[in-house]
Amino acid sequence: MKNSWRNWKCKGAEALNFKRKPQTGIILCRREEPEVKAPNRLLLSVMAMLLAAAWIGAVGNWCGVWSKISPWLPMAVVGLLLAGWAALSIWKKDRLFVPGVLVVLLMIVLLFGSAVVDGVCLLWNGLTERYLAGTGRILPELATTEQSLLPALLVLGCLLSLLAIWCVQNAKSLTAIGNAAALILWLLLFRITELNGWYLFLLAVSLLLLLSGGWELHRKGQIWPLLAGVMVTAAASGLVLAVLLLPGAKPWAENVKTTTADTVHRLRFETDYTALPEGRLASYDNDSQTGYTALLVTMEQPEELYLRGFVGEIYENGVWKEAAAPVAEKDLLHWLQQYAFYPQTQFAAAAAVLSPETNRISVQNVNACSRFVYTPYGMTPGSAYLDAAYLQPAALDAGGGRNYAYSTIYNAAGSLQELLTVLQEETDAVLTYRQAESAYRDLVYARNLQVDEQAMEKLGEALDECCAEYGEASELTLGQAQDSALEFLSLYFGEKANEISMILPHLQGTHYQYATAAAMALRYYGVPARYAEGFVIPQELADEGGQIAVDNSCAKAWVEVYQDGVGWLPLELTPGFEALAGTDTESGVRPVGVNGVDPNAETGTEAGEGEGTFLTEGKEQDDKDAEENDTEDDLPGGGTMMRIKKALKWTGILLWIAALLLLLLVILRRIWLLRKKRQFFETGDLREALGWIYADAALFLSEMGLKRGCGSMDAVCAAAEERFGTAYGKTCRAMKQLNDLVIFSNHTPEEEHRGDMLAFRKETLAHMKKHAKWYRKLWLQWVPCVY
Amino acid sequence: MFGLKLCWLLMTLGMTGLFLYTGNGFALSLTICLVALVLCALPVNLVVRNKLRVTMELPVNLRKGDTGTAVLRVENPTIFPVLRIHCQVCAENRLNGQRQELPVMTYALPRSISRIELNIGDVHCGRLHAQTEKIQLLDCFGLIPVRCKQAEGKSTTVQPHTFEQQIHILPNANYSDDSEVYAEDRPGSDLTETFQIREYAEGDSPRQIHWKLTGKFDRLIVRDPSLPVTRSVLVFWERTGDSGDPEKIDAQAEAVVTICRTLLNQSVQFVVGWNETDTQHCVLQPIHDLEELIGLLPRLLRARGQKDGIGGAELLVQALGDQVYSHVIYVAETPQPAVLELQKLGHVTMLLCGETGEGITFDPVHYEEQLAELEV
Repeated sequence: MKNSWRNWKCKGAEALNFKRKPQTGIILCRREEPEVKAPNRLLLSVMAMLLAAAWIGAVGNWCGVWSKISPWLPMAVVGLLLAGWAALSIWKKDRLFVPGVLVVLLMIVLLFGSAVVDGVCLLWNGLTERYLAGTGRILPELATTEQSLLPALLVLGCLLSLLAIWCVQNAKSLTAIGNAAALILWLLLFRITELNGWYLFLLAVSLLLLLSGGWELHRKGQIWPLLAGVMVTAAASGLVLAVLLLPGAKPWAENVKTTTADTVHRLRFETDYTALPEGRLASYDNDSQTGYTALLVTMEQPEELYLRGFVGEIYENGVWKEAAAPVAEKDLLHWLQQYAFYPQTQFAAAAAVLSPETNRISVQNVNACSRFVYTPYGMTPGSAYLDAAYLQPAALDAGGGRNYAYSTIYNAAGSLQELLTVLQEETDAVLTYRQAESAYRDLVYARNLQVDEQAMEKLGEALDECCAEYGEASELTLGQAQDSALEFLSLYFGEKANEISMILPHLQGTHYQYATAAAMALRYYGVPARYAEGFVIPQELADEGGQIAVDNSCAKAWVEVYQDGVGWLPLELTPGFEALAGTDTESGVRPVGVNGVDPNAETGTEAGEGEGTFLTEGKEQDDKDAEENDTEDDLPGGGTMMRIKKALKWTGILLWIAALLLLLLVILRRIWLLRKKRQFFETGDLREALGWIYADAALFLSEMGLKRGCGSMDAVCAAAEERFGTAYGKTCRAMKQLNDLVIFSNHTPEEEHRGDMLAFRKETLAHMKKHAKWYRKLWLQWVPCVY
Repeated sequence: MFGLKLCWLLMTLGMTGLFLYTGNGFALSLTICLVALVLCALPVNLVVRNKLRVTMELPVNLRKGDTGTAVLRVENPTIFPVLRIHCQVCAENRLNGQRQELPVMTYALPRSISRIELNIGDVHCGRLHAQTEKIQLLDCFGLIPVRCKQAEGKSTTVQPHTFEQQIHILPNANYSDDSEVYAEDRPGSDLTETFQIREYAEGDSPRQIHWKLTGKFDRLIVRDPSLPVTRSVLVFWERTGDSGDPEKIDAQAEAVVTICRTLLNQSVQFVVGWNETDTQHCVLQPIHDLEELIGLLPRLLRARGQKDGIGGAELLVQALGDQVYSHVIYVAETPQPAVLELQKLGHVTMLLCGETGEGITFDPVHYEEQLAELEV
């Protein structure tokens, strides 16, 4: 009998071989190297440990939990778990590992379900905080009872360990890329620009995985190229790091970072023209092209406007930066934006008590930076780019948008005095507004009084000189502070202009420099101030009507002060622009003490206190009101919300437990069915065993569409031959003959026939795995459990 | 390898992006490492490539359908490691022209020898030639290849299966069987002529005992019968008109070898021949014993067929001239026009694979049954 199938012994890899060229009868495949037990398994385990540790570290860092709990305990548990996996795999018992870990997880969930859910909620809340800090956007938070994070971290660690095992065994290169991609996405999404130790660890592990790509580390001899690669890489990396420690390397790297950020910003938001430095005074080229249109503004009623774009709150080394997102004050700001006013619409909220006339303004951004919305100070709520869940205490982010429209209070300048008077009244509307304003005022005083220590070392003496007649700078009243600031500015922008240029050397003699100096002086004297850039449309230009072309000559910087009661207002101090100052400004506010307001009419010494139109006398009362009215129904996380979240939490726990139980059941069922099938295959009655194995292979063939129905298997063999090649067809026929012999004759099979039949089944299974759709495979694997 | 290259590219871009975005020195060092590892490997590989020795070892014979071990041996006498060596191993069955390629990835540590074991075999018989078509030394990410000297190719013979067969050779009216010629090199079965006289050995037939000499020398003397060289047979395998179907070629090869073996068993001396389509000449080899047949197999089993061209029958007629045989067994897939001229050489029996028509036909599936009994 011609039985070539008898000698078909190229196990395992021949399927791979035939995938490449199924027509040929040549057998050429790599002989599988024997598995090396202990050392390679340990190496794999170490790699899995590193990967899982990097993931846990990074995730914990993303969620900000390492400030609350030490990372070493979850790491140690993960390490033990993976060491256990290594031991089990050395003893060839690793099939028990996944069910075992799942059982442990189930037990943890059953025993510490509430703590796990709380931990997960805490992790999520940490994530939302990081997101808020990077982007200013508020994500919904989950209610927790502030229990330990440990159970959740253990569950997370176990799951990540399982994933790490799978990755180091099956997808090393992909995991490496996935890690790097996830990290980059994370940094971009959360707008983080610093790499900390956990991220670097994750990158190093990714490189290790990439180096090991293509090698089967559990096979004999295949760890050597990896180890050699790691040694070479470590040496090279160390060398480069040593070079980077040389003096000058770090500033160079920082410079690269800044240049890249600037380039990306320019490409994304700017055109060929750059009208404004956006706080980067040190690097701004003041000789940029002139005479081009930056904005096209259309107003229903022409009026003078300050259109604010960039707002700088922190000054360092010649650069004004935007302040970090107000994470600590997020509840307050969110509440304000939901129920009272946005920081950008505060003036309009205050003016609402007067029922003022509004003006409709549309802006077409032609050449200005499109990152910011250029907004007037009297903007009303309901305008574009205002979102209660997006905390933007200073500038409004346009994100590249170039066309927008908004309503604004018309002739705000003329109504300011009247407004300040009305806000002294005790009506319900005024009291409600003042309550919100007092809360926001505290926030402003906390954020906008910081001064650059380096600059103050040099300016401090001059500033103290200007306020000497009132006493210490830290003890000035508001009026005194404003008066002292004016004196400083008039002195140092006048006869001592050279001195200020030595201290603030960037953009000398420009309004950027004056605005910077003014902001610092005002802050030094205790007046909340910040630096603002944008476009100023003077009355003459506005009177032209129609679509007003705002060119780069209108681009300016100015200082903003927080006017108690009505919010941030522009203060024009640049020499040559005095015409815009005082009552001529949009808001009508003159520098304090200039327009008939007595700066000495103070009643207290605290910031925000004062008399007359400054509403300072209402501050303490308002604070009290704010606390009393801080009911749980008004604030985020009120009673109803808590109940809903609690119900959701328990539903989640039950669903989680049910899902785990179901998963366990499915796994146990599969194990039982496969074991039963194996028993059939290994039964002592060879005829029966061969019949079972052949039937199983026929089932695989039918899953590939090769159904015999009521016909003969010969037809199936012919079809299989066409599809999978001659060799397979021959084997198929031989097995069919063997099956016929077993079933229809007294032929006594030999033990080696079982091996042949099993090899045939294995080959058929390999073909089926290759050709079946993934969902079909999933179904066959887990529901009828055919393999 | 493409996946690894893509991963390297993405990783390098990612690291560069991270450095530009964060200005972090570690990210920069990883970026430089990713590039430097590739660039530094290039001169190392250029140095190593002239000294690296790659050899291949194959088993002498293989059973059809069975696998043997081919060993690819990479010797690196230098002090530099090569972290990736990509070898494209190619196996070709020279009889039916089938090819199979296998990419093999290995490495060579300094001053070491690495062995890669491959399973090699064929479900068809033939001369299997294995060689490394391409050897490239690569960096650890497989980006820049440096070509290396190829290993010398090696061949192995995949032995055909033979089956039980009976050949009845009928007398040829045109050829005198009454020959007085006997084989000088091997015994036969013609008891009328003595091949040699020798002492009795265990297993000898009592009919062979030479009683007269036994009585004379007082010990058992036997005589071996001679082999009459009378019914001379030519087994010719036509390689022109071959369709290239490996199954048919396999069946023909098995048929030829089985016929040869059967003739040997029946103590019929014969000549086996075939036409080599690449050199356009006939190979004719007289076979006296099994060793000769086995020795001839490597050459026979690399006789590549051809669809068109000068037929083997025509070449045979030209080559043999006036020489005649009692029988010619002509094995072919498609009989060539000159086959009729073979009648001049002897009585022709055609064994045609897959063809229906004059002669005995067989197919690649049932040829064992169809050729189990032949009458020529």
